[in-house]
Amino acid sequence: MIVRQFGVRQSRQLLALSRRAPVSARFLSTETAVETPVTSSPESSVPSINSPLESGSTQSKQSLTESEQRWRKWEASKNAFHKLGSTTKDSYEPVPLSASEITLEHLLAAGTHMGHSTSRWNPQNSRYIFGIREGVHIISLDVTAAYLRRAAKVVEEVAARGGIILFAGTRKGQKRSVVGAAHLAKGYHIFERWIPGSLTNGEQILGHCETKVVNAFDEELPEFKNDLQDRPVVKPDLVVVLNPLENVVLLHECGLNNVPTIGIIDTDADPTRVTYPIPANDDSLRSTDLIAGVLGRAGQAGQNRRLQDAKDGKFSYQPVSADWLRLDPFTGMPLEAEQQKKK
Amino acid sequence: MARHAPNGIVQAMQLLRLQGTPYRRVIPSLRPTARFYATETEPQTPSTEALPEQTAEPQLEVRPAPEINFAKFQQRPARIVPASRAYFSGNPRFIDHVLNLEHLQQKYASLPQVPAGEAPRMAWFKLAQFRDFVGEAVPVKKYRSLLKLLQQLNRIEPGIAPQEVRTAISVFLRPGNPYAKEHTPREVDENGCARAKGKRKTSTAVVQLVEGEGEVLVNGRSIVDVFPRVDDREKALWALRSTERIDKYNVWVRVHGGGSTGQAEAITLAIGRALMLHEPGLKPVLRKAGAITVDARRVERKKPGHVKARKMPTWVKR
Amino acid sequence: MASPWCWSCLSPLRTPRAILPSSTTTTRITTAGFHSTAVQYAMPAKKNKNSITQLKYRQGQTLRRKKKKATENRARPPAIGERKAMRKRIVLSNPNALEVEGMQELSPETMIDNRLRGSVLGLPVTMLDQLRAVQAFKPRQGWNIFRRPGTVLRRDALELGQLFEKISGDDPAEKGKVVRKIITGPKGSGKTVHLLQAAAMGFLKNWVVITVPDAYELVSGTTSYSPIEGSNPPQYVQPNATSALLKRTVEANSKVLESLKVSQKHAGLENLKPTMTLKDLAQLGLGDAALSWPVFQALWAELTATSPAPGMENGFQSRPPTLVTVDGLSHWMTKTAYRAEDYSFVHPHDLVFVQHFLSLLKSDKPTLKNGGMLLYATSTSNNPSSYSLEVGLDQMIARQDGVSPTSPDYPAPEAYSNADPRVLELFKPTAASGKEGVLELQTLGGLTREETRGYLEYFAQSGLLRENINEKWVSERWSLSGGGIIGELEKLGRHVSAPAKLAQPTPDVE
Repeated sequence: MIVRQFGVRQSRQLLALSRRAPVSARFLSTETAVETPVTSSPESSVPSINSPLESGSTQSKQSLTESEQRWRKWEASKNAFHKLGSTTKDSYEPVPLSASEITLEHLLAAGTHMGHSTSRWNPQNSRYIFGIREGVHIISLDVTAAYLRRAAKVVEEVAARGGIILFAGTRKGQKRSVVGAAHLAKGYHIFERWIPGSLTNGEQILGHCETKVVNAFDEELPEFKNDLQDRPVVKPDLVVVLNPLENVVLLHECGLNNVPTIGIIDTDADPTRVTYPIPANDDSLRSTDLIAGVLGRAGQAGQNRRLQDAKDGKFSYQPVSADWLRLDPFTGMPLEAEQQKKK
Repeated sequence: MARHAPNGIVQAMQLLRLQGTPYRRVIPSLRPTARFYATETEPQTPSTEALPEQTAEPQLEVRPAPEINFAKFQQRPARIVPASRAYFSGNPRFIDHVLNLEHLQQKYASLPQVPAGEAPRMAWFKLAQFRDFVGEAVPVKKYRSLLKLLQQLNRIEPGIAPQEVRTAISVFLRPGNPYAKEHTPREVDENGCARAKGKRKTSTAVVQLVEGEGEVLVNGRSIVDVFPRVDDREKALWALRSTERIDKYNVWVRVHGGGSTGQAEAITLAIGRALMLHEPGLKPVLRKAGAITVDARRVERKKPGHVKARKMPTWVKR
Repeated sequence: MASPWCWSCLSPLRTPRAILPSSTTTTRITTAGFHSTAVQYAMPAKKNKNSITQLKYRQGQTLRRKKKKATENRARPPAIGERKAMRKRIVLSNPNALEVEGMQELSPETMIDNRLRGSVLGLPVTMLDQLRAVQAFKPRQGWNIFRRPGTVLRRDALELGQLFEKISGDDPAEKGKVVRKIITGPKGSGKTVHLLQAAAMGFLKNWVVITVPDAYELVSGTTSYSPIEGSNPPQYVQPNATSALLKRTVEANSKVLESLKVSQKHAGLENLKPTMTLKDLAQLGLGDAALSWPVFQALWAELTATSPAPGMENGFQSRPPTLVTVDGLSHWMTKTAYRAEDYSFVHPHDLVFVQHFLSLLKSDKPTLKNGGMLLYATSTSNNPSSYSLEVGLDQMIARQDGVSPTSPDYPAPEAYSNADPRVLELFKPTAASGKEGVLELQTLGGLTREETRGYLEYFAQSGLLRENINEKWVSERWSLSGGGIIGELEKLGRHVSAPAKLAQPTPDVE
């Protein structure tokens, strides 16, 4: 590539010199279409299989612009040649591990054992600490694994009972894993600042956010849309915090609202702030990604269980009733209009 | 398990409302006294507990569970959940848009892009419009980052850009693309009158130039009235003087704002532009004379902590 | 106890302060360490004021340097009245300016010569004293930049000359006519110079010229005034102003007045003899200001007399026509600075002087029986705003445009505008009776391009302009001066400006 660019760059100058320069026109093939029978109809001869355009492009092939032609040609040549000279065996597929697959090696590889400098420790974490190496606390990985499995169990059971799980990771770089975990567990995510008071003063802060009524299969029931007005805001049933040190306010609000929490507790964090601590390194993105992935998978398992139950016609939780939804949210009594209708 | 009890404020209001009423119907099943945690074991089987008609009046005889009616089961509400995964962020719609755009960007990262200047010009929502559109108070900084995403997606080569991307970014366009309309060059109108505008400092002048004998009216008054200084008059008519056209045109000016210098030079610019409409060939002359060169300088604003725009208070030792 | 005295020199020794009674501690000046009388009574040591370290309470402690003292102006201030004299001084000649060759003088022939239109005619040197006497020149009219004073013969001046020619001509239909005009125009349009031209023509034609060069002086409260006994509503005479008017008239018209003899009897002036000339009559009022108003009335009666009183026919000569000019008319249309008995402002029309000249504007009864001209000009510098005058002038314009006073288009004062009815009364239409002309409004505008060219060529010939005067340059000046406003042209003529030679239009312009 570099050589080709070089060729293009230099050859322009050479051509501009208007003398017979030994520049082969091959270097310019990416710039101008060369009239050769081999490349005259590339898009018809080589089907572009992996093209992301395949689904989107609706243009007929006659009306292709020059740039698109060029790009298609490039795609085709890539598809034709990119396997040349190599055999791909095992490729790394970044699917999060589930709790049952977690081993100490995984945890060690992700660096979950790295604590903080010994001077910054919180003595309440002494039971999770394996030892000291080079002035840094090492977290005991078997403890981490045990706590992680317990937390995964909690997440799974909450998900299985239709609970609302909130994944919070507000550090830079945690966005992707937080969103991914929330996607797996059908939970909710927050990767920017937690707005203080979202739980304790939810009417003001989350009052305008939409809610919906779903059935057991998580399909929306639009006929209840009008009954959702003036309802209290939804509160999570479990909060997973990847960086509890920065989210003290969130944890405090959860405590006030009796919301159980799961948090990654590093050696300098206070383990009593969360309900279910996971002693691990919270400063490494690899570590937090791993843990978020595990919890996300656990949530996914729980959700699958719940949906399976729903297929059997069972609720694993206490559903809301249609009559209750139709009651006045303020008084708990039937609405005036309903009463009139009944009369 | 999802809780459906009203929170503290609503309960308090509810109590207040119920104080005056003679009777108070309490529906025990709707007011769970204890909190159900998801980790707790369920005390009753949900299939019997869930039915409201059963809870409303006590059942005496035990019946077998009714047959599952899947059609009805699908109609039954089960939970109230947030509509968006970003519910707890406070502006879920905005975050959903951002995530969608980021997803698209990752998906089509390999597509060739054109330089920023060659991308089709798009009129994105202004901030206020966008706030109306999503119905949330989006901060300026966050909206800028969204615009950056949109511009990057917009830079995908127009011929190749997938339909998905095009529809996604077209959501954020202002209604009626203002860049779509062609720029029409000004011309002398059917009455032989050329209109042009000029600005200088805080003055704005609108000039109507017709062929005539060199009469000048400024705001309906004589130029001598408006500009008692000869210099100002000479400046105002400089475009005509420098091209020796002063006796060929009549000038009718409306000027407002600023002082005499600003007004005079605003008129210069306006007359120069209007004259170019009549005689485009004069452009190099006018350019050389400085009659159509815009002076974009404005008074710099005063800053807090400064005495003037830049001057700082005198340093005092103590 | 130790003695409080020094035994060697018998001076008091210092005592501890606590022992001393309070009166001694406070009153005595005890500064000197060594006892000596001189030190005792010396002033306490002054602080060094020049020191920059000197501190005062509640002051910012910034570095203060001594500022330079402003240099005192040791020159003696000018004597009283000298400044005003300098301000009012009128210089009519500039020896550095070039003599314009072939410049014609204003004369009875040239002032009606259409071919000379646009040229500058010099004022006759012999007439300058007369014009000075009637205060026709004003400072800042640019007289001091030319070799000799001259005026442009513009269209209005030519028309004026023709009027003079007609009134003092032989045509019985035109002879003895009275022309009344109010002259308005934008600033610098030459209203005052127009009056000057009229005065000059009047002198040329041997008319009697009576001028009020500044109407403001009569209402500004600077001259004495006294009520006329028995007048109701009270009226006021201004003896000193009248005396000054008589003086102007006598000085300027002495030749004409000397040739005319007293021909009427005048109440209050019993010692008049038929042998006295009108100049003698007028000079009666110069000496005694108290007599000036009756003298002026007598003079006016003599000038407007068509035939002698019985018994005084000896040597009666027919009176010449009269020119009356007033400058700054709007001062007479607002309130004066004078106070009446009840401390209210005196209306200008209650001053008999003003009333006399304003009554001439009415054409329904004979005023100037020997014919003449009344030119009353408004001013734009030192101009009080008078809404009633504006309305009156608008009404005159409307009448001249043919709008009937009964039609709805006829301008009327706005409701609640408190327009002065006495002022509006002045401008009401009156029928012309006999040779009395109707009051007209003449608006002076700018010069035409040809006149402009002539005027600017005069500048060039006087050595003030070093331009190549051509059509383009003249029309450029014409536009810059707001359409040939002569005052602005005069500014442009003496204004040294960079030539606009930067750009020649390209030849291939279509």
